Amino acid sequence: MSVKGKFVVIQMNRIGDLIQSSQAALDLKAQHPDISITLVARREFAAPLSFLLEKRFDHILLIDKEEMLKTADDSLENYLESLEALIANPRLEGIDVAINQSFCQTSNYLMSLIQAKHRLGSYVGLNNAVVVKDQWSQLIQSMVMGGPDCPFHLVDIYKNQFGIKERAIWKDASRHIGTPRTLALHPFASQDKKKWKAQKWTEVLIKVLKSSPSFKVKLFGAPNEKEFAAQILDNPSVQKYGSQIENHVGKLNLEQVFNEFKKCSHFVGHDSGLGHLAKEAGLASLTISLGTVRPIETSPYGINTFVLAPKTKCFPCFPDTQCNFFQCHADLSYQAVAEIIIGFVGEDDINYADLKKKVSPFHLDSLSIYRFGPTNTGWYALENIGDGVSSTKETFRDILKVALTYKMEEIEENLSLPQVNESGFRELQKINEGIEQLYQLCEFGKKYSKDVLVEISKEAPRIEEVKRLGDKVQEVDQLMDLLLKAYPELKPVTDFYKVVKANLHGDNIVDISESSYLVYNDNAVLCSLIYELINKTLAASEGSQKKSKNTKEGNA
Amino acid sequence: MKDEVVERLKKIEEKLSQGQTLENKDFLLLFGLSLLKDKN
Repeated sequence: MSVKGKFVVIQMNRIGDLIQSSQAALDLKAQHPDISITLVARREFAAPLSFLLEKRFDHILLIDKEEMLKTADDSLENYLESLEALIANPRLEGIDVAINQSFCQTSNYLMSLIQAKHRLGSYVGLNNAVVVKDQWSQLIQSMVMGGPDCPFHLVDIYKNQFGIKERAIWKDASRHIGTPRTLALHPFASQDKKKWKAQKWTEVLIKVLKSSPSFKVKLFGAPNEKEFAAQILDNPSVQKYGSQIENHVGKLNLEQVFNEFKKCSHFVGHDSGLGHLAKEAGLASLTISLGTVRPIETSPYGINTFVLAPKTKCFPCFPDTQCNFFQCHADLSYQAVAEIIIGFVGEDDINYADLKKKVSPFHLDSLSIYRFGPTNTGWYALENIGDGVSSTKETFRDILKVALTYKMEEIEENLSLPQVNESGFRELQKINEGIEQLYQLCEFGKKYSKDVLVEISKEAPRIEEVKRLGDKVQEVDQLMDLLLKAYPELKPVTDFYKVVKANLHGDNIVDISESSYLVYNDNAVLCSLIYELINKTLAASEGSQKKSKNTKEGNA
Repeated sequence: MKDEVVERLKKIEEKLSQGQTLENKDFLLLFGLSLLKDKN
C-alpha cells in the first residue's frame, strides 16, 4: 500500500552522514514514491553533494550560517529574523513526519521548532530536556551516542526509523568496474585518530606498486589534504612509480571525484565521506578503520565491502579519549595492509589462506578482516573472514543484534553461531551471569510497577504505600547501575533501557506505571533472548572444543 | 550581540528554574546559538 505524506529529514552532519541518510531515503522513496521528502542540511556539506542528494530528496533546504551571520551585521534581532524566515519556509509547513537523523543539539532544537504531526528522533521538550519517543531513535540515543557497542549499521537504523519493512529492493547488484585494477586511494580522514601518518601510507604504496606493475592508483583528497598528499608523493621511492599514479588531491569537486571514481575498480581509504561516495559509484571498497571508527555502524553501505580493524583492546575509542601513542595505528602493519590491497585489487577478493602464506602471523594476528554485507534479513552485518575465532566483543555484538532484531521487529536473523576460544567461553559465561541478574532486576521492576497500579486502583489508595513502591522502582534502577560496574559488557543493554525508561509514555501516575511495567517487561524479554543465545553459543563451542580435543588426543 | 545573548539566556534560565516552559522564541534563540557553536 502506497503512503502519501510530507516528510522532513534533518541531517546536520558531514558528507558521509548525508550520504547514509540519502541511502535510507532512497529505499523509502522506492517503496512509497508518493511521499515527499525535504532534507534540511548545512550548506557547506550538502551543496557539494547536490548532484546526488537531488535525486533522492524532493526538496533540499540549506542552512547557511555564514550567510545569516553576514546579513545579521552583529545584530541578534537580525540573526533571529533570518532563523525565523528559515523556519517559516513553505517546505516546512504542513509536515506529517519530522525525522532527526543527526542527534545533535542543533538538530534537537530545530526539531522542536518544526510543527509536525509526528516526530521521530530526538527533540527538545518544553522543559528543555531531550525527548526521544520511538524505539529506533532510542537505540541511537543510547547505543550510538553512548557507544561503541551498537550492533547495527546507521543506514539500517535510519531505514527502521522510517519503518521500511521490505529490504529486497536495495541496489545490491550494482558493482561498477570502470578500468580494471585501478585503485581510488583516499588515505585521509577528518581526524588524526582516524588516519595513518603519511609515512605508513608511503610504505604501503611502494610495496603495492612494486609488486603490481599493472595497477594504477588515483589519489583523491580535499584541498586541505594537499600537503599530506605531497608528503607521500614526494618520497623518491614513490616517485619511481610515478607513471602508475595520478594525483587528484585538491583538484576536483565532489561531483568530479564521483565521475573519476567511475573510471576506477576499487576504493581503499580510511573512514570518510569519500568512502561512502565510492560505494555510490559502485566500487568494491576496503576501509582501514582506526581510532573512533565503529565498522559496524559506518562502513560504506553496499556489497563488495571489506573492512580492516585493529584488535587493539581500546579500539574503537571515543572522540574525546586522550591518546598520544595510537596503539591501534601500530597494530595494523603496512606489510599486512599492502598484501591485503594487492589481493583485493588484483584478485577482487581477500583470501585469508593466501594471506597466511605471505604475511607473518605477527602482523596478521593483530588485525581483523571483515566482509560487510546483507544477511538473510537484508540488514547488514560484519562477517569475520580471518582466523575464524570471534572475540567476545564481536560475539556479544552479534548476539545483541539477533536479540534486538527479533524483539523490535519480530524478524529472525540467521547469523551462524560464532566460534569462541577458551577465554572467550569464560567471558561469555560471565556475561550470562550478569544477564541473569539483570533479568531478575527487571522482574522486580515489573512487580513494583504492577503493585503501584494495584494500590492506585483501590477505593482508598494509600499515598505512603504508592511512594514506598515508587522508591522500590528507583532502587531497582540504582541496582542496575551497580550491576553494570560488575558486568561492563552489559552497557548497551542497560543504556538502551535507561533511555526508554526516561521517555515513558503518559502524563499521570497510572499511565506512567503501566508504561514502566511494559519497559521492564520488554527488557526482561530482551534479557531472556540474549541468555538463550549465549547458552546456544556456549553449547556449540563446547561441542567443537571437545571434538578438537578428541582429535588431538587421537592424533597423539 | 554577545551581551544581548547573555541577557536572553539568563531569562530562559530563570524561566526554567521557576518551572515555566519554553516558548517558540526561546527555542529559536537556543537553536541559533547552538548553530553558531557547531564546528564546520
